[in-house]
Amino acid sequence: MRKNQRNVQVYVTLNEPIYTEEEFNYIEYNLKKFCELGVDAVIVSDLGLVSYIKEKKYKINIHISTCASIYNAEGVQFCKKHGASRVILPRHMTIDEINGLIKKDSNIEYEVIVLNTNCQYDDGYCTYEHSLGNYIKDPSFEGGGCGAVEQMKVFLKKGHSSDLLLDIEGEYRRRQRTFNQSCGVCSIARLSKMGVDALKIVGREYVTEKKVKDVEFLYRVRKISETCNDESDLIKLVKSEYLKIYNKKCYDRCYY
Amino acid sequence: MEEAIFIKNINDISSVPDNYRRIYFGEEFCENKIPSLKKFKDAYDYTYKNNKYLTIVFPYLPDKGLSNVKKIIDNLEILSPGFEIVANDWGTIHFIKEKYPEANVIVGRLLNKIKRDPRIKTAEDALPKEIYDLYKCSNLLTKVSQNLLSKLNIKNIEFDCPMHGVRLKKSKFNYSVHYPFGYITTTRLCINNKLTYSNGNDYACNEQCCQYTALEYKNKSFPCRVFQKGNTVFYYNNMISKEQLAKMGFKRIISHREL
Repeated sequence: MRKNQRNVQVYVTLNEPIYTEEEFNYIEYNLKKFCELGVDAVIVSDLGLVSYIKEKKYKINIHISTCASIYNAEGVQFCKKHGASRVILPRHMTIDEINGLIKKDSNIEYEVIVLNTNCQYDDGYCTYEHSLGNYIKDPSFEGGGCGAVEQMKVFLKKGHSSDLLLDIEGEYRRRQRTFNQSCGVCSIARLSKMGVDALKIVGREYVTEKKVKDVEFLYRVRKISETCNDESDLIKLVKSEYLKIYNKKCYDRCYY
Repeated sequence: MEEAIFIKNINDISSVPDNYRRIYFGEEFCENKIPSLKKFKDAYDYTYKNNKYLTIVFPYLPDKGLSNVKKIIDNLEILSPGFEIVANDWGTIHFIKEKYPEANVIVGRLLNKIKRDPRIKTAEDALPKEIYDLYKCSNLLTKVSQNLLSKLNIKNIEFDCPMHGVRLKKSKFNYSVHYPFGYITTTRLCINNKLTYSNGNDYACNEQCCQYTALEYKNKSFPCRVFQKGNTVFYYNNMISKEQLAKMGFKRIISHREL
């Protein structure tokens, strides 16, 4: 593995929500290989698998995936007891909630998402299947994103006033149009101060050029945040960097 | 096969038909809609007086919500015969099992990751059979998961029945299924409350207007009706009967009269 040439950590994802019994044979084989190769950690969402890796004493760190939806300190303790050394927190958490978790136990690492694809639904609890479009060539089959909704109809329970109705459909559509332009980078300084150990850039499916831009953007912002103490100045500088790197204004679709 | 009924409003408890000996009460999806301790106590008192059993239900929870739930659990007779708690996150399960190891905890349907996307049924003819069958699998039916649940002294697992079906495995666990509404996905963001979409929001909501509204999603690829109510998307599975579910191996059917 080339990681030692560049002194970087290498993590491998085993974070599918479901593995079949048959697939577990491959998982066991792969885990042994990962240990031999010196992979630093596996990212896992299935708590049964987490427990199994600990039980079998594989010499590899376990990071709990966003898809395990660990929102509370009890959940962090549960993961820690089963061998986890890091928890990657779900997207839909506030800064205060993240801070609260770290204060309760800072003897485990925390990772938060800061860039790309803030899906409106919770990763861990979503059971939509996005890959169906790969199998169905019929253009009328909408097997892609879960937001592929053609029409909506609002129902109101009998006896209740339509004044209660907000622009639900409009909000849904607006949300869907911008969900993949989300960013939490303005909060890096606060996250760092609270003790967050790692930042996650979502998007293994993106082209290399985009990935390089994302890393460069995050790197530049981290440098700026080390010296800029005023939050509003920091936000201005971050937005300016965003424009330089991506050649467009940020969408104000903030994670936090 | 046991029949249970899920009620969300405590006022509905007295209209539960006699044939339902078990009542589910609580909230599965939204931390803002968890009933008060008083309502849980009223539910317990009613079921106790009427020779029925109570199952209380909680959603996934950040710390603030879990603090509230801890107070509720600490003030209910959760170790009384027949009392059950459905937990939809590992933190809630951890808390209960640490403090009340003998409590009867059920793994809620949110922790069951079986794919529920109704479009899988529509795609049946186009999908290779082995792929289609994979969609019928649940993470909670694997040896590693069932070992973990056994260590936690958990004996009951909840399911939805997806439109494409489920491949149940005989085991020492009891399986229950929600009927006829299954959930597909959920979120802390609520379509009824724009504020939850705002930057820096705290996901709090006192409006409760999601009780009165629902959004139906139309898509040619859905083989059934699909709705969003509040923060959760549901499908309506009217292609399977309770009798068929019992034959599949479900020991308990949890009926929902409404979303």
